[in-house]
Amino acid sequence: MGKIAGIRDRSFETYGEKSGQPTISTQSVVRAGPFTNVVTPFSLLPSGPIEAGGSGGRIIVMVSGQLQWPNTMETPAPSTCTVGIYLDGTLNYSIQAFVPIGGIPNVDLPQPVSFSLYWETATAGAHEVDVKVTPGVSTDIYAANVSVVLITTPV
Amino acid sequence: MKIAGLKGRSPETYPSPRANGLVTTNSEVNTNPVALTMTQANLFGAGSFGAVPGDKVIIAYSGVISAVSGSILVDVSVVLDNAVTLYTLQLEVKAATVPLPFSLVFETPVLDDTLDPHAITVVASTESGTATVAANGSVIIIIIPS
Repeated sequence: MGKIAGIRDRSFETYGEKSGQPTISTQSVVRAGPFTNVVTPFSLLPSGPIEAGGSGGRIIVMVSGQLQWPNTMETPAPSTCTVGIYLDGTLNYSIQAFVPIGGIPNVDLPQPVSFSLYWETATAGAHEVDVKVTPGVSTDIYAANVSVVLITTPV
Repeated sequence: MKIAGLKGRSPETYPSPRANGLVTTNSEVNTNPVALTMTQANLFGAGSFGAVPGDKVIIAYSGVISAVSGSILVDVSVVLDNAVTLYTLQLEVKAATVPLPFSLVFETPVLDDTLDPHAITVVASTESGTATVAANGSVIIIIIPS
């Protein structure tokens, strides 16, 4: 049987298979923390931006983590933080999270606020992906247990 | 005769998807409440999700936690082989009858060959003894062979 145009990767008999090659690639990091003295904007990744994607792939970015005041903070104040996904240094998608006052230091619970973001790049291409938090009223918010998963999918 | 365009659609000609090299998914929903104490409780009953050495696994979970009374801290974790806590997210349930929705995502490193298969579970426990309840858990498992 001859080869037929347009059926590449569709006929094992004619073209074989791409054995052992996953159809997606993934990258991930975890930063347990807590990391304090969060300045504006503060990267939540352990080693800075992650290079991901490529000419044939879009990037799905998934993030989970928590924000809170340190339990030893003497005078915390409510803060509306912005957590955003940055591509090549530019903010592309963000959410806001309200971090309440932590109560009496070393007595009350620290009131962690969990957050999650799920976002995909609009077009195929390689990018440096970063996740940053911007506190609203102070640089003393802390973040913890940040997990970032990147899935590069072929377009 | 094999016909172009029917790959993966004709069981007679192409009996099954090939596991090697293909991403697979698994999922589970548990609408039943799970009582939480200071001992880790599996949010999906006795069940676990399997993966073999060489796989990486992405776990995406969403659910709700509420407290029977008072304010309480809850740790939700991804656990490997019922022994190794890979990732933990800490939540605070503010008060009784105030449900707290949350979600988490985590990717395991490439699983080694110390066990075959490995078991992955999502568990939760409280930081104090106050009874708390988790419910409406939904988990998606994406298994990526390396």
